[in-house]
Amino acid sequence: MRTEGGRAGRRAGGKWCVSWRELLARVRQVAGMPDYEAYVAHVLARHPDRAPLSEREFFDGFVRSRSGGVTRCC
Amino acid sequence: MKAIAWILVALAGATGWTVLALHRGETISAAWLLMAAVGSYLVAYRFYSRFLATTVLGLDDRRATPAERLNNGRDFVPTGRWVLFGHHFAAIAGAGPLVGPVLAAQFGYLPGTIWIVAGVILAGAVQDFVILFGSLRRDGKSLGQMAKEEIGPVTGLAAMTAVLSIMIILLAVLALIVVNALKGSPWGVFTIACTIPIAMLMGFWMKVWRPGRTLEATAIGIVLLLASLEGGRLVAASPVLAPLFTLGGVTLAWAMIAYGFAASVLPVWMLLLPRDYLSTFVKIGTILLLAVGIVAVLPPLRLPALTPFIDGSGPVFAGKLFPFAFITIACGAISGFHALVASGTTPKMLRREADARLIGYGGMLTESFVAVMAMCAAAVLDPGVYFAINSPLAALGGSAASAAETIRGWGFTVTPEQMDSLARQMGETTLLARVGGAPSLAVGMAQIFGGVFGDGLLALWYHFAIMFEALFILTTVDAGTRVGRFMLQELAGHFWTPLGRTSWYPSILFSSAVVVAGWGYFLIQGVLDPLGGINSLWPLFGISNQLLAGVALCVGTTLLIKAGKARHAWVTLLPLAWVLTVTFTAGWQKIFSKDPRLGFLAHARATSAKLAASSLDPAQGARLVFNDQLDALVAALFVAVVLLVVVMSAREWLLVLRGRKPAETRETAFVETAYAN
Repeated sequence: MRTEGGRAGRRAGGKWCVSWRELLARVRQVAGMPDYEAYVAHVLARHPDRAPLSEREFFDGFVRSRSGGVTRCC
Repeated sequence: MKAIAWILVALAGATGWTVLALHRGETISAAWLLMAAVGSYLVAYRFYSRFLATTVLGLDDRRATPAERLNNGRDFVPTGRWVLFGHHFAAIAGAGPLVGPVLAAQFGYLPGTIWIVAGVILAGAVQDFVILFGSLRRDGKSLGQMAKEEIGPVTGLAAMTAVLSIMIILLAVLALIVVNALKGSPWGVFTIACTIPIAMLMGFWMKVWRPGRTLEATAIGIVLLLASLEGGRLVAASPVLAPLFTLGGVTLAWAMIAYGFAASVLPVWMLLLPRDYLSTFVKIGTILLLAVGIVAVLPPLRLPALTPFIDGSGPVFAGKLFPFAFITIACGAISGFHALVASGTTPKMLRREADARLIGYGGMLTESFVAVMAMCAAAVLDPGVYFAINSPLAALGGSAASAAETIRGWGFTVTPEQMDSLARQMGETTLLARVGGAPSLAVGMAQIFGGVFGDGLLALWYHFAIMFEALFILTTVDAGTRVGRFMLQELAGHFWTPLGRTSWYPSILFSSAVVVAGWGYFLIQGVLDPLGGINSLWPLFGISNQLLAGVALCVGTTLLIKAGKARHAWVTLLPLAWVLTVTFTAGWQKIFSKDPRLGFLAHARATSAKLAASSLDPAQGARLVFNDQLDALVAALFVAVVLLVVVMSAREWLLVLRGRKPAETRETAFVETAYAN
């Protein structure tokens, strides 16, 4: 099964067996880092009519969307 | 088969508690404490959180989550449950669950541990879970927005004011902990100072030189960070460099204020974001390492289960076991601040509703486990050493010799030579009266890591632990200042529209300065306080954090009642009643207690009396009196705002229950998921 959002590319080896790229994607998500590849995959899959943002534009937008609220607690 | 396994888990937990309760004697292994805690967590997760998930909240996997419906590949992203668990945990866990238990160890390890475990199961994890669920059903709305929509605009405004003012106290007390840990420590100062250029390098790396390469930049950052830890050792050993990095409290406090302002004004990518990445990895790594260390060493707990200080005469902070054990440990048992995270990024990333149980309830159980580990790290210290590090110099009589005498009077033994040799082992000049919790936690952690890897590197481990704490405290300070700035801009925008424009530079500078001045004032006063500041600021922080939990539980109860679940509303009402009892009692005592050690106003009167008898410097005396009155006012303000929220909420509940108002919530409409479950 292929779903979006960093889950693409899962191997047949079961839940805990993932590729290096997938591992890096997960590490990025844990730290709340932007994942440009996953974003591009998302746009191509869901909005084939739109051109995805450039990496820089995506990075800036991501940073903006995450800097307004409380993301770190005491 | 499964039933038998669960009976065994429950028995293991019960055995742990029994041994802790019945034990009399010298020391006891940390194994029993861990067994009691983990056994309780597992049973609570399996049974209570399931009851909450299915019967009370009704998590529905057929319902599409906001991440699925609004997926934009950016902030709304369906995320695997374990990845999101890690992300959420890194967001909620900070210095709070580490420092609170260390301070509360003044009562012995038992009261704090019971509260950490029982509190999280019945209160803290419930709060996080319910708020996460509420926000999940409302496209990731914030706590303030939910309060406004479900209870009313006045309550919404009150909640926002509460959040902003609590943030000010929180940032001041956290900054004070770092200042106290770095005071007179060239090694610590050098290492922490290095994190700023390292973060800026990372920022330029991932923004300008190699756009988007965040992991690459972070890997470089971590290597440089470890190098700066070793560099700190060389600096501290150098007769030329060491004095340059040996700073006093006031200088450090101003440096902190300047840093907070810069981080709030500069673009996020330049300083705040890269430091956040650095701190996240160091945090997760060190907490895992600490868990491995404690399990591998299973150190004996040298601190008694209960100390004589439960009567309120303790030197670390004033006040009796009730309510102050429950105030001192806020994070780890119940933390109102989590309600802000649980209604922020996390609900926008849940892939399925059912995952909210692991992430909301399970995430908070994990933070509670961190608090239990901090309690272990404090309890491995000799009681005499623990009190020598954590008591203010004024309480210890001013010198190493008088400290040993004073501590003997409390019934524990420590010699000046013992403290000297410990300080040398840890690579510090002194560990006497290093209040704030961070240094004693670092000594405890260094001893645990020393137990695993050998005693040769104790000084390195000590400074690693200090760096680890300071790193993510500063991350909270900079992120908090920025969030405070946004909130202030939003509030100020109501009065003069241009101030509400978050990217208009005059407004940025103005509101950042106001927020920094707010916490900076309390920080400087804490540094100048002869009792070390933690004495007055930490209880204020504990009270405010739990009052915020009160606000969150009011919102949670409203959501339940409006969703027609009034029969089950006790799951949030019981913790609400407890939190209000504890905080109102503590608030009352902090303001009105006749004991000048405890009550702000009584302390102000005692200081005035000393001033009148001219046994105190007039300027210093006047400042102390003003600060006491200010602290009393702040405490009263917190209580008043929360009381307002409680009354407004209760009114809303009665209106709905009596049928005068329709029981409808602002949940988004049901959309069936496209995922194959």
